[in-house]
Amino acid sequence: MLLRAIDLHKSYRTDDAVLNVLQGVDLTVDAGETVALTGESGSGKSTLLHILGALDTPDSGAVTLDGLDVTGTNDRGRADIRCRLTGMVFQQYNLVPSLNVMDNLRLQARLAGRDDPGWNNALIARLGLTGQERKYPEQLSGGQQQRVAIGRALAPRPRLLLADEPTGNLDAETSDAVMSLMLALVDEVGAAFLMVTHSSRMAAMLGRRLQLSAGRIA
Amino acid sequence: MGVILGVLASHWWRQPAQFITLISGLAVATALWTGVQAINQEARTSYDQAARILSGPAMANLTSPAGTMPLSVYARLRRAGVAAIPVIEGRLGSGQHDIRILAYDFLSLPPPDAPGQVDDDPATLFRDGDIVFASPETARKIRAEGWVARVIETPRLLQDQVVMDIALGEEMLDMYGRLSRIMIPPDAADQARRIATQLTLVMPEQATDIAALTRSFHLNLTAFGFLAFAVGLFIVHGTIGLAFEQRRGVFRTLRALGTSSRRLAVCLTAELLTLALGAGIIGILLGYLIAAALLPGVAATLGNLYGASVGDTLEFRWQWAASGLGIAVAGTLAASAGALRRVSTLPPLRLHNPQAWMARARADFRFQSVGALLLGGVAILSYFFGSGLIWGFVLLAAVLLAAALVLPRLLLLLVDAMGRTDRGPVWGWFWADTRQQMSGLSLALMALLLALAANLGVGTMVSSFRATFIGWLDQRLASELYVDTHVPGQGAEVRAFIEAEGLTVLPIIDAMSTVNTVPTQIYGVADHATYRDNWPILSALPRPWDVVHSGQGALINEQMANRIGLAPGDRLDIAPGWQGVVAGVYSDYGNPAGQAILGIAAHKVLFPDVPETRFGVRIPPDQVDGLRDRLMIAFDLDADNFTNQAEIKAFSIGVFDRTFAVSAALNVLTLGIAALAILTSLLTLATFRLPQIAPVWALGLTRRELARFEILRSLILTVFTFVAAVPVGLGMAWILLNVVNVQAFGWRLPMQLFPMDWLRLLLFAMVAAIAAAILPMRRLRRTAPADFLKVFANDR
Ligand SMILES: Nc1ncnc2c1ncn2[C@@H]1O[C@H](COP(=O)(O)OP(=O)(O)O)[C@@H](O)[C@H]1O
Ligand SMILES: [Mg+2]
Repeated sequence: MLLRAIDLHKSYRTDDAVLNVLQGVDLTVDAGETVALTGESGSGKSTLLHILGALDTPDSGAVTLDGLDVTGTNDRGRADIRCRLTGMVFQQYNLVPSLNVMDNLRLQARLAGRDDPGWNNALIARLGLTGQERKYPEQLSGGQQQRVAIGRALAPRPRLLLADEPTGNLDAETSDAVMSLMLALVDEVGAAFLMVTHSSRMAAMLGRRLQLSAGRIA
Repeated sequence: MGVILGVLASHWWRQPAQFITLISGLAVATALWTGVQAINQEARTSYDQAARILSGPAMANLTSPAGTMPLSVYARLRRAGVAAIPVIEGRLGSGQHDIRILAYDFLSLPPPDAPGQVDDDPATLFRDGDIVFASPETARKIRAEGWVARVIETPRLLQDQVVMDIALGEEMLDMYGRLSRIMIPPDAADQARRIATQLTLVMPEQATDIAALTRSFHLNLTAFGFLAFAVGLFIVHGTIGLAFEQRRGVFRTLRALGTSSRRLAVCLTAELLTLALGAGIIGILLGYLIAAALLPGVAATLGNLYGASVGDTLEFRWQWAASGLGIAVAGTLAASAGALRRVSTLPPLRLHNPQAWMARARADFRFQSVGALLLGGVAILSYFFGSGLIWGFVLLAAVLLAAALVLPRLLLLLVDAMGRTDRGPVWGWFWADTRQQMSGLSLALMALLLALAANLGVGTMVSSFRATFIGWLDQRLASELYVDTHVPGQGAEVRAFIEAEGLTVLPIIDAMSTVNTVPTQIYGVADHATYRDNWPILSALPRPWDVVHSGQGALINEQMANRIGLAPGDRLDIAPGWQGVVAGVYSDYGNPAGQAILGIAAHKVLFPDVPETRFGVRIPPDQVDGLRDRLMIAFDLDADNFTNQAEIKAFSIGVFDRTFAVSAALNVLTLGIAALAILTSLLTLATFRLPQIAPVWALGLTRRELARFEILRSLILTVFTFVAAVPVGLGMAWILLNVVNVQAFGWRLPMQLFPMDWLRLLLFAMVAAIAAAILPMRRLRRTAPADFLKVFANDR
């Protein structure tokens, strides 16, 4: 068992209303497993993913990742977990505009101290970015940018890849290509994969499917 | 660390314009500050040097406003029995370095003590050929270059200072027949003053006190340097704020990829320090150049106003370099503290929200209004309860900053009012868009307000001073020709000769005395309409000249009245044996010392030994030359026995203008920085502007029209800022004339308005605004339609 969440609660306080987003989420993900997280828009999928990825903290409950206590540690500890154990792919790519493709791809691996030129080049080739290494994000299409982001998340060989609607901004054809690339690379790295999507077609490509509704996993 | 620093640096690499504005803003700000510090320090070192150079009894000095004086003055002093010592000073470039030469008559004053190396017999000094004295280190350099026969090591001398006999100095500096100054024993001061009327006499206590005398002048410069630096900091604050804003996404990504907030903050601080140090070093070099360019003017000013001698070449000294670097770093950190704090407390997921910026800007405006109110309070308190020069400057600073802080609020009100006038959708968009840009531009506009107000304020002060000064000269120098026989016995004959031509002769006698511990020059003047009609009296008892000539009172100058706290009617002890009242107070600009006027009869009783050698002559201007020629022939007088009113006026006005040349230069530089601030802000804003402009472009405005709107906005905001700066500048002038000048120099001046100067400044500001808008505008005009379209493609 790689990832375990126990009884996660999270609510947002807006002006005078309180929005209870997560109300006791339990889940486990095994090493190497691929899992889809689905649910209606606004059901709290992103919130959950951010907590699992040590980007955010729950109001109560616990998360352990690879035997480490994610929720009990401080800002520095969570930064360390993000850096070395997880890779994150966002819907908006979030590339650094002032770095070229290669430097963006290497960024997390270098932060983690695991920069491996051979693996970086392999990733570039596998992601179909050969010849684009010196370009800047603004010169790339959306699909290409997302592939750089995927490369960036996998370059440090994380134990867990988290993706929040990674194909949400892409057309159907590009989406399928990006999706199969991700699955193949996750397999190669030996990472587990947890992906938020609201497309059933995408969800069906993964090993298991979790449904978030009314603040719990159904 | 290295990785993160690399990512941060990549931003500047991709945004060179932003980088250059940040660096140049900081560098220019540091440069002005450093330049002023360098000038101040050079002057201070000169004062120390002057005080240290010669031991023995303190000597008084005769200096000339023109820089040098003919040898004949010295000869006249010796003939009258004054133990004067002629001095030549100058610099000599000898390849690798400059040396300062101090040459004087070794037979009158022994050379600096050099233990065991010189016999008591002065003849040895000349027997073996040329001989000079220098500190051991300087001596080594001179020997290495081998340009003089013998160097004697004298530890007490300063570095690069060489002392020699006047004969050798005259030859080396090529100053045959001219002197830099003449040293005289202080007890011969009165005699010397009568003989060398054209020269300024600096008493030894005055010389050692010169640091104190000139403090206000240096404080003035420092205040200017600080103002320029503050204006520069507005640029730094603006650019750094925007650079942080633009990189929020990057910070968020770095955090998401596993950077702790602490580490990010440390890296950002390191980045800022590097930028500050780099810009600081450039600034110090620029500052050196500025100081080197301004120093001759400053040296002239200090010489004219206070008789202080300051070298006119600048040395690099670590003190001001370190102060420049320190203020660059401190300023950068202060300007970016807010942005840094926001980043280090930023949760990794806080979404980038363009609305948030506006909201914060609005909070900033509110904060600024509160700040303005507080500063207003400080201003009122310092006006009513503060005293002394420092408080004058506090008052100035508070008023200026308060005005700068309320400016954005005022501009928003104006823009909102304009937005409500219904002139169609395009203008509606224009005003709304201007409103949105205000938050990004407000800092630059505040900087512009400061610069414009300072310019107006200092300009009004100087012009008022100049106008008053010229009027005062006309009153003060009422006689058309001044004759000084220098030789006591000749006075009566010359007077008789002139009176025989049917002209009015007004004898002028003077003596030194000490009134309430203030060294004061006491004049005795004749009872004549020339004085009654012209003398620049500020306040007086009724019929003051009657009081003066009845022997019951004296007129005193404004400086003395302020220093001792005297007003008309107060009791005054001028010298043992004379008691009277202050009959009136007159203005006496440019004179650091106290002065009093008695009737000539009373003066003769008090100072019976003072001979009549100086006369004012009332004569039609076209007859001045003729009379002078006749006197020259009849009494064997030469040109320096005469002073022509027109010449002295021209000379005084020249001195005045040189004195304020430094202020004018600093003024222009400060305005330049403000223009740079506007350019910076517009350039940085332009990189944000695409999303706002693209929709309007899509709705059918051409790029040319859009570009025209950009220039128009820059102009409108600048003109309004100028309008706001006028009352602030006049307020500043009022404070300078009525508070700061009174504290610094002891005189109060009436304020006069010079609208033509304002107009020129307005034109300058408008040109600067257009120039600043042109670069971003050209970029906008060249933006490819594809780039506009991208905005829509990326829109979420
Ligand atoms: N920082 C926040 N502050 C307030 N409400 C939030 C915040 N983040 C998310 N929410 C709200 O919580 C709910 C869940 O959001 P999210 O996890 O993004 O849902 P999903 O990803 O499933 O669409 C939504 O109603 C959203 O508006
Ligand atoms: Mg979501």
